[in-house]
Amino acid sequence: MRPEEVTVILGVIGSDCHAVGNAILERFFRQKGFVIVNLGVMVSQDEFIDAAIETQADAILVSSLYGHAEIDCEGFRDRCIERGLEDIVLYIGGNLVIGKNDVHEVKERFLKMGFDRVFAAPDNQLTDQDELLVGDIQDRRTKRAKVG
Amino acid sequence: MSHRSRHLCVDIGSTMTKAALWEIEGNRLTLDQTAELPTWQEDISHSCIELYHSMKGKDASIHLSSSAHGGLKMVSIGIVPSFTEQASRQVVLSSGGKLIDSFSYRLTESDLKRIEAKNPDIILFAGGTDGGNTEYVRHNAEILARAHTEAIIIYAGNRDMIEEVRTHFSEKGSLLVCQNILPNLDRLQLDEARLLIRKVFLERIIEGKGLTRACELLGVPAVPTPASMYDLLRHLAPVAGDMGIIDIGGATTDCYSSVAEPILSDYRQTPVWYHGIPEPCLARSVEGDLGLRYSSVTAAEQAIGSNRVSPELRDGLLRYSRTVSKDAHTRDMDLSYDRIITETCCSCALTRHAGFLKRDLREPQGAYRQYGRSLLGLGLLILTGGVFQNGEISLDTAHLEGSSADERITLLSKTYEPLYDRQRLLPLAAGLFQGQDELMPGIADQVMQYLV
Repeated sequence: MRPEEVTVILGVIGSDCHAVGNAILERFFRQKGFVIVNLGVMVSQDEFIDAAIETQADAILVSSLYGHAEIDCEGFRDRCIERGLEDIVLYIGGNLVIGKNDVHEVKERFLKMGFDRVFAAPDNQLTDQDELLVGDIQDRRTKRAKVG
Repeated sequence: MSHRSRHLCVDIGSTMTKAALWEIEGNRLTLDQTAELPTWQEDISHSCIELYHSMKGKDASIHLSSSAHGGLKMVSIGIVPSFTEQASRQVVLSSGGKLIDSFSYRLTESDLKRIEAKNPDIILFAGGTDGGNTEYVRHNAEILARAHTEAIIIYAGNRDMIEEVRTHFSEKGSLLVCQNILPNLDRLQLDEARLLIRKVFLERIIEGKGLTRACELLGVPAVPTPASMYDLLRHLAPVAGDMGIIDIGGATTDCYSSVAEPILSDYRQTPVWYHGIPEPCLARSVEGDLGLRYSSVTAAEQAIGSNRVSPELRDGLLRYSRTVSKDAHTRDMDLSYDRIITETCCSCALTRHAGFLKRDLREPQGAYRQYGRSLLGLGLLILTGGVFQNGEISLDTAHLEGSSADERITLLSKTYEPLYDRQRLLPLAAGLFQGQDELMPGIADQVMQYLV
């Protein structure tokens, strides 16, 4: 499976209007060949899901930089399930909490919320996320084919 | 010698059929003659033909529009309400159609029965960006293919699904296909769908509306009246700047606007981020629950609910609205109640038509989200409809102010100038611009001299 066959939704969640990181993410994934739908900043949960449904996206990559990710993402996986996207790949990255926290603890918290991968600062550098994404989506498609 | 042409514009309404004879000499527009007759319900071509015979200008070019027999009844289908369903509704409204129902996500069996019962002329079937959703489109095609309906179905969705959708309708022969109206989430592509709807109306629907005789005698096709008004707006916009038209009828209030920049980048130095599908420069919305007669009760209740009516008038207003909603031709007209209802129809229709800003109270120094179109630059508002004809009703524009609720800011100008179409000429002037690709702002500008 190639990146050109993968549609990804990008956006910054909640009331967060930090736009620069979002632009960098878009450029990174576009250069790797993905089909990108970038919703920009101040995106609600439903807006992510609306876009994913309309474009039949494989993954939603949520960014959050102002420290309120937990409250903004509360119930997100459940909302995806409720709206028919039960097995969509979900990533989250950015400055996910305010103040100093143990990065592993933060990661665990967001994994428990239903995200497939968590890139909490300082572990949010852009490295091999494109390969991880392709791998995760491939796994999901294989599982779906087996069930269907 | 300057070029001289004459134009006979006829508009067939549900109650009245009206005609106007215009002359264009060089760049000058004059109104030569007007006439009207009641529309015959049994044969809507009748009054049109009578008027034609009674007027001067047999050498004139003829332009015909109609909103009789419920106009062009359409159903819209999309997937996500804020994406393809909304785009589909926009196509219907901007084509001059009457939106009788709208569906999102997966059609159910009871949705199917509802479509069959409402008997639309056209079903606009959209969904999925290009390369996007296939699952819902497949499901909806299967359901629609089983519909017992004479409706023409236009598929305007995900291009990847065109062939598959066609296979479901191969026996029906009534499926037409056009460009995806939302090929990606950042772009609306409505023109091809609109043109196809217009073509279908002209070729297939006119007969069922009783317009064939008129079209044959006059030698011209007819267009839905709101589509004609939309054309007028397109020609007026370059000379009038940001403007709106409100058309108040007995049953509905139509609102049209033309805005150069519907999407803001900031509001009072605070950044604004736009959400949703792109807003086009021209738009039409129809409020089916706001009108002067049939739909007056909602308007009356709204007026009372927003404290526009002093306590001693409230009961009387409600009684009046209930009376006129059942009997549009009652003799007991009350001008002061009509004024209140008219003002409410206008302000509600405008508020609903305009977009709004929302700010998250958790981030007071942050940005705004914008939904819908900004009418902050609206300089001119034309008011038309039978209620303005006798010259006795004018509106206090302070009462027309859009209201803001909660943490929303309605994007509506507070300083527009109202102009009244006292002779109910707009639908007749609209005929001058029917199907004209090349803009005629000089002529459109002169139409305004007939407004007060």
